[in-house]
Amino acid sequence: MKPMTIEEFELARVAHGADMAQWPDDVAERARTFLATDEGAAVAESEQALDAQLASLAVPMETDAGADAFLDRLLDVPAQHGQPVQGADAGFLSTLTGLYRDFRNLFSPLGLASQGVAYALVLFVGVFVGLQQPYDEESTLDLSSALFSSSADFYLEDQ
Amino acid sequence: MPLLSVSGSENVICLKSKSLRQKSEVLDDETLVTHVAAADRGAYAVLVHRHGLRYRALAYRMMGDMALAEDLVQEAFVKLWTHADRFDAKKAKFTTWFHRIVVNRCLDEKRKRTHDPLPEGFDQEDEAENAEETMVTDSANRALRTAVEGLPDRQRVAVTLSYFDGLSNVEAADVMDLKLKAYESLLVRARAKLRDELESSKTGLLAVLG
Repeated sequence: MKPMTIEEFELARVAHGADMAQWPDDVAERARTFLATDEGAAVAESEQALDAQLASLAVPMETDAGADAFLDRLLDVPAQHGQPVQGADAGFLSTLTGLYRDFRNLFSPLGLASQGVAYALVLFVGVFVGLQQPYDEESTLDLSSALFSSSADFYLEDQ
Repeated sequence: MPLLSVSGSENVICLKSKSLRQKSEVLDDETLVTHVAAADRGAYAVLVHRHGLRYRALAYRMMGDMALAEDLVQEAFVKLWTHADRFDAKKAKFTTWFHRIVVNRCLDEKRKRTHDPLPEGFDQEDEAENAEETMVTDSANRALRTAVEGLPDRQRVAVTLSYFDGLSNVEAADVMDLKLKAYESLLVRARAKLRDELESSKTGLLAVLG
């Protein structure tokens, strides 16, 4: 059986509590061997002392004179702070803005799916609108004639 | 007259006709929050009576200043009243959710205060007076309190949640948004630091007493 270290004992105590009867059998067995040593006994004594001190500080603080006044302050909160009007911003836009309100939502499955749908929708509308336009050969502009004539003018001026 | 009435299409049970005591016996926290989201002041009052002082104690242990602790917890309850609809009972218990709100608010305030300069006329505590106080009968508790206050923020939160607020390791890890093993390691480090601090203060006290 591998001997237990101080660190392992402390971790087991935090994980399973002070009562070793509640520990898993194998861990408890190793701990008993550890506690039989001088080092183990000293560690256990130190841990128990700390637990006792922490317990003595954990006295409830709920009976002081200011407790009632504090509760009254809390009870006044609804009178001083209105709730947001339910449904005031309901609808598609608010759902959309709600999705983007939390940045993490952008990368959630729902966020990614909604972005995909939006891109596909825009692409589809764009292609659809493009296909509706008639192909018009007459509207094709040939700028070369104007360009060449103006170049010729410059050339003639230089001459 | 019926004690419970149903209003609206969402079958929100209106509890305003029931006494606070009756409500607190009947409904759990999570159900009460859904009523708070529907602007039920009675449900809000039950939550205040059930948890208000507990969270004040939690904030006080983290901040060491009762007036400030009360202000921070009041802010948390304002958030509960105005944003109760954000609570999702499927994701967490009410107490876990509200612990997070209070703890995060306290940590934010501590961070803010770390960067703030000391107010004008602020006097440091009298070291001589503290030295005398350590010799009174509750010197051990005083030393522990000082040691807890001297812990890094996250370790202090862990000690507060586990030993003063009575949360299980699983609940406390959830509040701090940590894996259970990570939380337990944090607690082990905090305990080790507390033991070291207490040992050194004990040695110092013995030296003073000769």
